[in-house]
Amino acid sequence: MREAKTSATTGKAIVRMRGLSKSFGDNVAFHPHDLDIQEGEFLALLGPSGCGKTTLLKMIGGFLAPTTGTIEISGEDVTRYGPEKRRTNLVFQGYGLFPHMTVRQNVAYGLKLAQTPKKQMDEKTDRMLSLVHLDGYENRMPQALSGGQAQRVALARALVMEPTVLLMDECLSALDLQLRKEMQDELRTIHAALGGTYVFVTHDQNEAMSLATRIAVMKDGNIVQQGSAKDIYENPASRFVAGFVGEANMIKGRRAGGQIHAPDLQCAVTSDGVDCDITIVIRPDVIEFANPELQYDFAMLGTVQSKTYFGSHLSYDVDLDHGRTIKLTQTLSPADSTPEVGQQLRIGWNADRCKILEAE
Amino acid sequence: MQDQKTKILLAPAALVFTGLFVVPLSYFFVISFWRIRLYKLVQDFSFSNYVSVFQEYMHAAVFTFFISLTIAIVTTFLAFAIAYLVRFKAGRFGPFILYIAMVTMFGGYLVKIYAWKTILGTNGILNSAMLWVGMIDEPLSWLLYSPVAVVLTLLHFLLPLALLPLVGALNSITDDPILVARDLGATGYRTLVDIILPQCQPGIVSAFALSFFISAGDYVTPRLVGGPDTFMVGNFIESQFVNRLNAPLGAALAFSTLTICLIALALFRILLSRSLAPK
Ligand SMILES: Nc1ncnc2c1ncn2[C@@H]1O[C@H](COP(=O)(O)OP(=O)(O)O)[C@@H](O)[C@H]1O
Ligand SMILES: [Mg+2]
Repeated sequence: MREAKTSATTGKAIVRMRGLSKSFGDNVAFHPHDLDIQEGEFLALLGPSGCGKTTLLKMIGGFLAPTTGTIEISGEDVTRYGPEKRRTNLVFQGYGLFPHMTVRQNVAYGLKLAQTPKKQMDEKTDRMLSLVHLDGYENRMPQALSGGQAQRVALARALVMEPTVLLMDECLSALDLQLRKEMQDELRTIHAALGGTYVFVTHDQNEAMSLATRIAVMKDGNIVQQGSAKDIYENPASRFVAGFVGEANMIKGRRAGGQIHAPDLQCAVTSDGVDCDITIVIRPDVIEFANPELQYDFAMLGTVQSKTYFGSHLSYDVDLDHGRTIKLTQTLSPADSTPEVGQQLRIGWNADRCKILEAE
Repeated sequence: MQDQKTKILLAPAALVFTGLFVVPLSYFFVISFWRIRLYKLVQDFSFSNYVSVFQEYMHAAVFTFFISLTIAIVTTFLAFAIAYLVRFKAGRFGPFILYIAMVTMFGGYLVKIYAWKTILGTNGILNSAMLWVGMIDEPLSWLLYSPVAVVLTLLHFLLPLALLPLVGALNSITDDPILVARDLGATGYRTLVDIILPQCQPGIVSAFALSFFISAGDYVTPRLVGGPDTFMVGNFIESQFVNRLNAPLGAALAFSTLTICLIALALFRILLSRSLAPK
C-alpha cells in the first residue's frame, strides 16, 4: 500500500484525517491522505470535475464511509458515524430544500428535530433568516424562490445548526456570475461575523481565491498542493497547479551546467540546481514591455498578436518570432503607452518573479 | 388558434368519456328516482328507492364499507412497503421486483380467485399443510367462503395495481432532501414521516382510492369465495339488475354506495394531509 501523504499541519485542528482514502471498486476516488482542518479557517477544495472533491467532503460529513483511515472531529473519532451523529452540516449543490415545507419550516427543521424549545427555535430561525436577507419570505414555498434565494435558504438551514464544520459542495455554481459574486461577498461576511470552520468545494479558481483562507488543490484523487491563494499563485508546485490556478505561460527547457536552455527562449539564463528537464512558469502580470533603460534576466522580441481591454488592465498575446505565444497583462495607468496589434517590440521579465519547476 | 387545436385534439377523448361514462351514469341517476310497475319503467319521481336502500340494504352497505376499507388500507400499506423497498433498499434489484409484481397481473382476476380456492379450500394447500404438520385435527372450513378469503383474493389482485402510483410517487422524490434530513439529525423513521410520506400523498391517495373503489364495487369475488354470509352491495346491485329486473332500485343502491365511497375518500384525503402536514 502507498504511504499516506502527510500534509497535516500542527495547530488547533478541529478535523483530523489520517490515512483517509475512498475507493469505488477498482477506482480510487481519493488516495490515502493525512489532512487537518484548523479551527476557524475557510478551506477551499479546488480541482477539476471528477478529482474527488465531493468524495472527500462526503466523507467528512459522514455520507460516505472511508475505505481506509480515520476522521476525528473535535477530538472524537467519528469515522463510523453517519451524518445524523456528526456536528457537521452540508449544503448540497442542488440545495435539497424540502419542497413541501415553507422557507421557515425548512430552516427550523433541524432545530425541531433537536427538540429546541419553541421560543428559542423561533429566535434562532428569525436571526438566521435575516442574516441571509430572507425576512419577508418566511412563508414562501421553495418552488416560489429564485435560485439565489433557494441557495440562501439552504445555507441558513445548515448555519442555524451551528455546525462545528460547515461543508459546501459547489453550492454557488448554479448561480449566474453577478449573483455568485454577491453570494461570495456574503459568505465572507457571514464567516467573519459568525466565525466557524468552513470547507468549500469548487472547480472555480476565482471562487476559491476570493473565499478561502487556505486552498487545497486536488487532482485525480490527490491533494497536490495546499496553501494561501498567494502562495499557490506565486509558487505553484507543478505544471498542473500553475495552469489550474490563474493563468500561466509555461516554457519547457533543460538545465545543464547551471545554464537554462529552452528552444522558445532567445536568451541564455543561469540557474542553480541539478541538471534536469525544467518548466519555467511565468504569470502574465510578471512580464513587461521592455523599458530600454532597464536590464531583464529574460528579454525577447515579439509581435503583438491581440489586445483585449478589461477595464483595469489590458491583456496581450505576443507572438515570439518562432511561433510561440506569450500572454502578458499590463495594469493601466494614464501615463502608459499601449502597444497596438502588429507592433514589434521587446518583452522581458526577471528570474526572481518566475518559477522554475524541475521535471515531473 | 392554439385553443382551436387543443379543442380538436381533446375531442376524441371527450367523446368517449361522454358516451361511455357521462351519458349512462346520468341515465341511471335519473331512473334511480323512477319505478318499475308490471316490468315497465314508469317516470314517477320519488325517493322511495332510496328509502328502501336505507331500510333493507343498510347492513350490506356497512359490511361492504368496512371490508373495502380493510382491503384498501392493507393493500396501500403493503404496496407502499414494496414501493419503498424498490426505491430505497433494493438497489439494482428494484426493477426486477417491480417486474415480478407486474407479471403477477398476468392471468387476471378469475385465475386469482380459483388460485385462492385451491389454497384455502377444505382439501386445499393450506389445510393439507396444517394437517400434515399437526397444527389442526380437521380442515378449517371457514378459510374459504368467508370474508377472509375475499380480503386475501382482492388484496392479491389489487396489490400490483396499487403499486404503480406509489412507485411513481416515490421515484419522483429526489435524494438530496432525504440526505439533508439525515444531516440535520433525522432518524430513518422521522425522514419517512416528515420528508418522504408528505411528498407522495397523491400516490397514496391514488393507491387507496383504486383499491377502495374496486373492492366496494366488486361482486364476483364475494360470490365465488365469500360464502353465504358475505354479501356485498355489489351482489345486491347485480341481482336487482339481473334477477329482479329492478333497475331503478339497483341504480339507487349503486349511487348510494358511490356517495358513501366518495365521502370516505374525501375523509381519507383530509385525514392524511392533516396528519402529514409539516408543523
Ligand atoms: N457512488 C460512486 N460510485 C462509483 N464511483 C463514484 C461514486 N461517486 C464518485 N465516484 C467516482 O469518484 C471520482 C470522484 O468523484 P467526485 O468526488 O464526485 O468528484 P468531484 O466532486 O471532484 O467532481 C469520479 O471518478 C467518480 O466517477
Ligand atoms: Mg462534485
